[in-house]
Amino acid sequence: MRRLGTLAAAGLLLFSFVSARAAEPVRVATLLPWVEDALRTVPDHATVVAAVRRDLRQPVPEPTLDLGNPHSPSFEALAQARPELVIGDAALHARDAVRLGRGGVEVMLVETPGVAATFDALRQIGARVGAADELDAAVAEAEREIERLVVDRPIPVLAVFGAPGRFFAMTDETWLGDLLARLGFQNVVEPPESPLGRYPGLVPLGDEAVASLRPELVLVVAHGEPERIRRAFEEKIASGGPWKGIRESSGGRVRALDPDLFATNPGLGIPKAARALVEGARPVVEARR
Amino acid sequence: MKRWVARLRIQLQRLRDHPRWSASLLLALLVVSFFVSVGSGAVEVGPLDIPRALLQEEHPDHTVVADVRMPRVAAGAAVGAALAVAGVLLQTVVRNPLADPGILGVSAGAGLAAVATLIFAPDRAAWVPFFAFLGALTTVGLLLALSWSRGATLSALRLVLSGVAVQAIFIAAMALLTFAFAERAPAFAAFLVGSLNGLGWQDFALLAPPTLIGLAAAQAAARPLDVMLLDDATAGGLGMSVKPARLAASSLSALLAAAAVSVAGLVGFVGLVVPNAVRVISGPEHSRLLVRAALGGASLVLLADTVARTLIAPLELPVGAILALIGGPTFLGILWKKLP
Repeated sequence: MRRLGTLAAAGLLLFSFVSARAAEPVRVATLLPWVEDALRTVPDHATVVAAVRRDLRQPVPEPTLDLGNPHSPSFEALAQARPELVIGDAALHARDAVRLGRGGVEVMLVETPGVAATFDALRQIGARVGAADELDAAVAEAEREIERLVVDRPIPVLAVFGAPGRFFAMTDETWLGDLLARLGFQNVVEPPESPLGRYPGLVPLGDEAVASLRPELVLVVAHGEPERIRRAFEEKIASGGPWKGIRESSGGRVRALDPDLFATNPGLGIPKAARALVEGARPVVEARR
Repeated sequence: MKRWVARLRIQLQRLRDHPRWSASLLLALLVVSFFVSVGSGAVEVGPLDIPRALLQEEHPDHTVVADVRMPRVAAGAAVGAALAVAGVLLQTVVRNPLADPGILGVSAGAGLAAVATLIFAPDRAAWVPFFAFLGALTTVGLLLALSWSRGATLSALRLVLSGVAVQAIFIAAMALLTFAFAERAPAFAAFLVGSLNGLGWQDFALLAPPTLIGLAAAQAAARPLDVMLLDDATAGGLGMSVKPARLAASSLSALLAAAAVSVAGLVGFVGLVVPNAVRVISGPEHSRLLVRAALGGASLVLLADTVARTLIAPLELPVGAILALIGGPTFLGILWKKLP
C-alpha cells in the first residue's frame, strides 16, 4: 500500500513536470503585425520574441527584438531572437522561407488575401501555439460582430491605396475590399481577370480606368501621412478630365482612413475597422435620405 | 596642399616599386574588413570572441555568427573579388578603364538570364549561374559587335553608350518578367540594386566554384593579358591570336560577373572602382593587378555591406546603393579625364 502511494506521488510529480513543460509559451517571431497583436492576447501560450516594424520610422518596443522592415527582415536579429516558430505571409515571404527557417526553426506562412483567410490563419496559429480555444472564440466573436454591422443598402465605394504620385484601387482581392463587400458596400472596381504583379488586389488608377467610376464614397489608405495622400487625391479629382466623374458622384466625400487600423491587415482588429467604415459611411446614408 | 599631393605620389611610387608592400597592405585591409564585418551588426562580437562564437555551438552568438553572418561575409568577399577581377579583364579586353560589368550591361545580361531561370525553371536553382554566364557572355559579344566599327578600333564612347542602351533593355525585360511572374521572381528592387541580405551557405556554394575557376584562370592568363594591352598589330606580332584571346578573356569576365549576379543581384561599380584604384599602387602588370584587385574588391564589398546593414540597423540598405555612392563619382571622374 505504501509502495503504491509512493508510485502515485511519483506519477503525480512527473505529470505536473510534463504539464509545466507543455505549458511553456512558444517563442514566436512574427513578420505580420496583426499576428503579434493576436498572440499578445494569449501570453500563456505564446511569447512574441521578435517582430517587424509597423511604421519603418518607429522601432519595435523592447524587450521584443526589432526585425525591421517586414518586406526585408533582419536575419541577424531573427537568429538572435532564437524563436521556435516564425510566422510570415505566404505571398510576401515565400521566397525567404529557407532563410527564415535557418537553424531548424519552424516557419509558418499564412495566406491572408481576405477576411475569411485572415480568420482561418488566426485559427491555424491558435492551434499551433496551443491557444485554439481562445483564438477560435475571438474569431467567432469577430465574425458575429461583422455580420451585425452589415449596411442596409449597397453603397458604391472606391477604396484607394495611395503612395506619393500614385493611386491604386483596392479590389475585393484585398482584405479591405473583402471587408467592404462583407459589410454590404459595392466596390466600383472589379478585380482584373488576369491579375499581375506581387499585389494582384491593387489595380493602378489611370485616366482611362477612372473615367467610368461613380463611387458615392472614396476611402484613402496610405502607410504614412494619409491626410496628405487624401489631399493629393482631392486635387486630382478636382483637376477635371476623366477624374471629375468621381468628384461628382462622391460629392467630395473623400475620407482618409486611420493608418493604425487600415494600412495593414489588423487581424482581430477587423471588427473595429468595420465599425470605422460603417461610421464613415453615415454621410452617404444621410445624403440619400 | 601641393606638398601633400607630392608626398602621396612618392608613397604610391614606393608601393609600386615594392609589390609585396601593396599586396600586404591589401591583405591586411581584407583581414580588418573581415573582422569588422563579422563583428558588426545586430549583435556586436569582439574580434577575439569571433573564433569562439564560430566554433562553439553553446556560445550565445553562435547562430548569428556561424549561420547568418559568416555565409554572408564569405559570399560578399567572393562577390567583390569576382566583380573586381571581371572589371580588370573587361578593361583589358576593350583597353578602356571605363569598362565595368555593371556599367556595360554585362551584369544586367546575367541578371536577366538568372531571373528568367528562376521564373521558368524554379526547381533548377543550381543552373542559375550557368544560364547567367550564358546571358553575360551573350551581352559581351553583343557589346563588342556594336562597338567595333568595320576595320576600325574600338570606340570608347560607342562602347559606353551601347552598354547603357543594352542595360536599359535588359532591365526593362527584367522588370516585365518580375511584374508578370511576381510570385516566382526575386524581389526586383533589391535584385536591381544588389543586396547580400539573407545569403546563406547554399548561396556561397553556388558562387564559389565559378568564382574560384574564374580567378585561377585569370591569374594563369596574366601574361597574355599584358600583351592584350598593346595594340592589335603589336600583339599579333608577338604571336598572339588577338580575337580568340579577347574572346577567352571576355568569357572569363562574363563567368565571374555572372557568378556574382546569380546570388547578389546587380551589384555595380566594384569592377570600375577597384581596378582603377589598385592600378595606382600596383601598376598595370596583370600578375600583380589581378590578385590585388581580388583582395581590394573583397574588402570594398565587405566594408560597404557592413555600412549597409549597420547604418540604420535593423533596417538594411542594399549594398549596391552604398557602392553606387562611391562608384558614381569615380565613373564621372574617369569619364571627365577620358573624353574630350
